[in-house]
Amino acid sequence: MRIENLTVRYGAFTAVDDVTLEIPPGAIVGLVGESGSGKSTLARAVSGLVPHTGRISDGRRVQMVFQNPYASLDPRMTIGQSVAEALLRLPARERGAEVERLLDLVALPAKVMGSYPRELSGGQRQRVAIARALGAEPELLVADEITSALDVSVQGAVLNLVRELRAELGLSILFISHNLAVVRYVCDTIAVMHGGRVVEEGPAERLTTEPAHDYTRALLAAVPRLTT
Amino acid sequence: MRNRSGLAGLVIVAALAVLAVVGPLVWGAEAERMDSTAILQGASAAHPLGTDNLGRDILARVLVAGQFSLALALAATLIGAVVGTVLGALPAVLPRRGARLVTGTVNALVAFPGLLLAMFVAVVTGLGAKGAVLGIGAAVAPGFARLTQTLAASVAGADYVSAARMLGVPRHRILVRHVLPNIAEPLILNLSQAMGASLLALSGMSFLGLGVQPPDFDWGRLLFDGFPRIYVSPEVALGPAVFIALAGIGFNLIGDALVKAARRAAVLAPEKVAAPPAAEQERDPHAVLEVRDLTVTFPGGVTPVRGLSLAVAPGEIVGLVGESGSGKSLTAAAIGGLVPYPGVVTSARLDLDGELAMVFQEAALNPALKVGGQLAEVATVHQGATRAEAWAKAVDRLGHVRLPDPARNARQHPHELSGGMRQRAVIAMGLMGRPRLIIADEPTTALDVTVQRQILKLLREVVEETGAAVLFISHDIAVVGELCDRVVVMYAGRVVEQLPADQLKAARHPYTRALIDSLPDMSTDRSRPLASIPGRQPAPEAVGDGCAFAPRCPLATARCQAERPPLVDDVACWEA
Amino acid sequence: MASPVIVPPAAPKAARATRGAARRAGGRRLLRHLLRLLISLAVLLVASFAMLHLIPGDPVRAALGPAAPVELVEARRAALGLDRPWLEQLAAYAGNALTGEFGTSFISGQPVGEVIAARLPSTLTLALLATALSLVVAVPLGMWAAIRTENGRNRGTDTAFGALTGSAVAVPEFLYSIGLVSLFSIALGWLPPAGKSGPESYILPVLALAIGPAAMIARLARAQTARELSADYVRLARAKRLPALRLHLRHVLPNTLTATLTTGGLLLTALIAGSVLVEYVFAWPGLGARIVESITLKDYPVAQGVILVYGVAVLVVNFLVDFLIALLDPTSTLKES
Repeated sequence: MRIENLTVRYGAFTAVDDVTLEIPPGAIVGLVGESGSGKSTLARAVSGLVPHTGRISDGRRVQMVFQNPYASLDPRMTIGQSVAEALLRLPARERGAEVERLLDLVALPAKVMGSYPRELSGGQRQRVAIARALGAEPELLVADEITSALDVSVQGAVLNLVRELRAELGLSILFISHNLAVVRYVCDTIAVMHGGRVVEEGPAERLTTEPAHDYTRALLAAVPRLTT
Repeated sequence: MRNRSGLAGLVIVAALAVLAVVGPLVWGAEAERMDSTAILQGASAAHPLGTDNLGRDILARVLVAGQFSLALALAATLIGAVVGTVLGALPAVLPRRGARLVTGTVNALVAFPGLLLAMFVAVVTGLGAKGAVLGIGAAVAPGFARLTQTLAASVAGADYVSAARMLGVPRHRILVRHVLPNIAEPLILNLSQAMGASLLALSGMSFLGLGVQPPDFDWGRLLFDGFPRIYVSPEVALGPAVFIALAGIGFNLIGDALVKAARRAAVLAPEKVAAPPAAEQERDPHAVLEVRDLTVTFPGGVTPVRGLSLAVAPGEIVGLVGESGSGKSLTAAAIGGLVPYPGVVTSARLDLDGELAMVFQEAALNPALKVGGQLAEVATVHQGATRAEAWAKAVDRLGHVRLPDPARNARQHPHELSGGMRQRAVIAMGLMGRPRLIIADEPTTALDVTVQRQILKLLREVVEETGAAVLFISHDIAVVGELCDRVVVMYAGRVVEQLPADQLKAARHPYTRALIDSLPDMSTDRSRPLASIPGRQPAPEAVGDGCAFAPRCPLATARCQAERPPLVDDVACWEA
Repeated sequence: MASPVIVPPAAPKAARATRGAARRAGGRRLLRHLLRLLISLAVLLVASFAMLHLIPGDPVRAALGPAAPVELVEARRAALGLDRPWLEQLAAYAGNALTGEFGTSFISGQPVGEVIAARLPSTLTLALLATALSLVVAVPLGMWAAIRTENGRNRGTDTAFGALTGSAVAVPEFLYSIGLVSLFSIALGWLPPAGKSGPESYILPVLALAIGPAAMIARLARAQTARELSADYVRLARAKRLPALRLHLRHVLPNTLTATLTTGGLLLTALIAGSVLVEYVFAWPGLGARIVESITLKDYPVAQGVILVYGVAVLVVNFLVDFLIALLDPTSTLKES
């Protein structure tokens, strides 16, 4: 999938400014930047939630997982019903088994199908949101800050899940985060956004060891490190 | 307590409903019976509330009028609710211009009081119940329309609706499955209040002689008839007045109770906890802060902080780290004396040597006041400074934390500064005195990493310059590890380990180790999965006798389940 | 001073906007509100014009009764301009209204403009006094209740405040009027039962009009104060060990007031309508009694004129409340509504 010259404007303000980005099949592309950099707007534009100009080729089946797991599930629907919404194309009687398979894929027991979102922890809800997105058989999964509302001890498990899903399903993922260490760990290539533009792009390892752009260097320098 | 008032409302309304059904059947004949020998009488044994100009018994008429009064109010409410809900939903389906027109009209109409609209309609339709009901219905509608609009807009903007849209769920299904169920409840809650308001407005119209006309009568009309006589026999107005007031109060109480029930979680009854006498123990002469056996308890056995001990040396930066619910922020609040009611703080020792300053997130500045004034008041209140001196000092401190233009920034409101500048101002506020200890509660959590870095640097500079110690509270072990000299790790209200920051990678407690391993940093091996901790931290009321971490711990033994490990040699673990 | 290499914090977008720009934005906002007010006034004018035309059948015949001679009806119709095309009528109506010309009463033959001019001041005095009284009493009362019951303290106060204001809100002003008259005029004989004479004649009508809105504003102020008390800035102010009075008056009050007025502003328009009922009970020489009479007697020119005046009052009050909020709220000049 290829994003070409994508621009999003809100009135006079340009949130995303002429961004071109390639997401190869089966790759995890990371998008880092600080608040206001336009990374979340880009995610929403790619997902078709925000009007934009520019071209997105082969971007037909895109699903997004949102940052806040407490707002992305309808509080009045059971987990089973929420996930089944992704399966409306299937005959009703086949949906139950498919929901079970999807929940299994994100390592949730089938018994959560009858639960309501409020009965689940943040990490579990985020898994449900991922399962629902996978139900639509996306060509691209957009993950917008999916671990930033989670506690550290849960975050690791969700990041592992993202990597496993890519390995097992060959999924392409656009992974958005403000945390450079998280993006470095999860992604194959990284694009750094600043002021609505991609200022640098490259393989994760190279970009984090030999940054070319000043802003990338500033970001890298700001990452808190444990001294050994 | 409020449920009781809701119950009272329910009883009143139920009684009125029964009256509305039964009244005409029982007293219908009595209410219409004229008696030319008993015209315009006051209260008597035969007529407790007197008689009207045709000798009819007023009490009977009041009891009969309930049906018509309630029926009219119900009709007006339903008209208003249906029209309003449709009007409110229209902008969602109309093209943009039409939607704006509807929204604008609704917004303009919301401001118009019901009685005014009802009078307008009364002029057009002539006097009578029909005009009044239509008018009040028209007056109720804009409120419902506005409510529907706001609710629909907030639901339509919700992430779960975006998710459904991306899944290709059809529009009508989104409306039926997601939007309607999530807005129906508040709309229904609003009906009770609208019913009360309609009844009062209709009564008002009838009382002015503009509503119900004879031979029909509702409570308002009876009041209209009785009003001129109140100078002679006030009791003739008493019946209808009492019923109108009762109905208004009944519906309102129910409405209030419904709204509150939908909103609030159970509040537990307060419970007194006796503070144990402070044991005389030897005091650490070198500590700026020394805490022993600090416990914070809330009613219902909720104990977020359990026997915590902590010492901070002068000039030391200590990080207090833990996940949400570990009790770290309440520990800070307890040290600062800021635990909210009904929390109870007990400790064997809580010694603070010198002045304390507390630093919170940048959002903690008062949005309504100028930055300089918020700093200056510390000096005027505590140091007896004049306003001019205090202001000068505030500007000086703002310069100290390196705001670009302190004199101007002091005159600005918080929203005119960036997040990083606001955070600097909050730190400057802590420096208005001469603090020996600064407690910083998640001061950088809302900030971007580059700004966070500047703030951490500033904190370190403050320590070097003033010699103050810092207790830095954070959920982010990486930030704590970078900033602090020493790290104290909390889990389920207790300290599980404390260690020098540069030893974090050699932590001994399995929880600390798992925390560090589950956090990727710039040198994490990308080919291996991250560590993660199964399960979740127990809630503050559900911490058992054994080690609180045991259920999630790979090393846990039977002993860990049964017996809590004490903090020995800076680590609380049987297996470490 | 510590380390010499300091990264200066970046100036935010909001700070880059100069004071002048902020003022210009505030000016634009005011202009937009003014424009909205003008449009609303125009719509209102059309609505009050349409009122007469929406009456089924011939309003003049309806007013004068079937026995009235045809010549009189025709003369009245001509005087009202009802025999001309409606667009022309509208233009004439608008033109007249702008010069304070609203026709003459069917009943008394008095010009409606004169009626309004004679009676409006009494109504305004009543409404303004009631507004002032309800604000002065309700805001401190609501704040006091919120502070006393913070975090579930003092259950007794909580219950009493809830029950009292809840009931006070639910009782309409005409019942307050009748109750007050019964007690203070008829039973005790302390205060005049009706009419406008000395200062003491104001007491009962103003009270009757103010109780309901005061109770409502007190509830709003309490809810808002409770919300403010749990805000981060209060925690910070407490950490600064500010005395309670300073904390509540200087820190909490400004924030409470803005939010309370935003919702409470609507109540002031309800008070305008309430004045009709109160004036009716107290035979107050204002517009309220007159509008009731004119509707009952089908004196359409008077009804039309007075309803228009009430409508204008509602719009102007709303505009003033918006304006006041903009003045009070330091962030509003930059916030687009």
